[in-house]
Amino acid sequence: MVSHLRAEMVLRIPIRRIPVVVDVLDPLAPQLSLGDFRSLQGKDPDQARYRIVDIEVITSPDDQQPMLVTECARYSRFLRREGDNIYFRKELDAS
Amino acid sequence: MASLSIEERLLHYFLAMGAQQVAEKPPSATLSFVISDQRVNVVVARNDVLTQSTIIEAILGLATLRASSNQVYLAAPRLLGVTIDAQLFRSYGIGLLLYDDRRIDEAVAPQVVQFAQPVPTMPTQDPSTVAEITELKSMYLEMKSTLVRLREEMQTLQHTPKEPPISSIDMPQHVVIQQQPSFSESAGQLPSFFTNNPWLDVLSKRGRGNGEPFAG
Repeated sequence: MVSHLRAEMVLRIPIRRIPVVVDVLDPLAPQLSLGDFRSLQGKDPDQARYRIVDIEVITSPDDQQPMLVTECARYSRFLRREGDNIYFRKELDAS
Repeated sequence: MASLSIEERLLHYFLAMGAQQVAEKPPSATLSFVISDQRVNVVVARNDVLTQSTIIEAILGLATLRASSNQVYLAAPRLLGVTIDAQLFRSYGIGLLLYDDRRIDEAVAPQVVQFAQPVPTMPTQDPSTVAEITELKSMYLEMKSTLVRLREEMQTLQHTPKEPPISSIDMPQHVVIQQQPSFSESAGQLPSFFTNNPWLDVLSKRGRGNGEPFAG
C-alpha cells in the first residue's frame, strides 16, 4: 500500500455573530434578532425579561451551508479559532 | 490508538518528532521532553476546562512554566478548540495542541524562549595579588618604553654614514719591505749566480742561427 502526502492549504472563514433576543417569560414568543427587536419595539430589550444570545455561524467549506461554530470541532480538518475567524485545512487536488 | 490515554498518545507524538522524555518535570506539567537541547513542557487540559476563566487560569499557569522551559504546550480536546481563541495563546507564546480520538494537531506553535547565559561571578580579589599585578604592569610599561627607545637609537645608528673600521685606524700600518735580490758589485752589476756559470755561454748562443739542436 502506497500512501501519498497530499499538499494542503489553510482556509480562513470569517465568523458571523448573530445576537438573538429570547423571551424568558413567553416561550412561544418568536426569537428575533437584536436589530429586528429594536426596529419592532423601538427600544433595547429589558434585561429582566429578555436574554440576548450570541449565535456564531460560519459558511461550511464543504457545501457552503451555514453551520454553527461549535460544530467545527467535529471536523478533522478544523485547525483553530483565531479572533473572528475559523481556520480549516484543505487538501489540494492533484489535477 | 483510541485505547491509549492522551498522555501516551502525546508521548508517541513527541517521540516521533525526535524528543526524549524527561522524568524530572515541574509539578504543574503533565509531560516533559527535551528536543535538541530545548526543554518542552506539556500540560493536558481535560474536558472540564469549559469556561473562559478557567482557560485563562490555565494559560497563566502555563506562563509560570516558561521560567523552566523553552517551549510550553497546552493540549486540549478538539471540541474546546472552537471556544479557545488562538490569539490568546500567541500573545503568551504558548503552543496549543488539539486532540480527538484520531489525531493530534498543533494549532498554535509555541514561542521558543532562549534563556540568557548566566553571568559568571567574579572571584574576590586578593589585595596583595592586585598590588603585585600593578607593580608588574608598571615594570612592563617601563620595559616597553626602554625597548622603544633602544629601537629608535638603533634606527638612528643605521642611518648615519659608515666610518672606517676601528681596526684600520688603531692598528699601526705594517711597512712591507720588499726583499730585493742582492747583486755583487764585483761582477759588474750582475748577480752572483752569473759568475762561473757554464750555461751563460750556451744561452748566449741561442737563437743566432747555428741550426744545431740543443739536445738529441
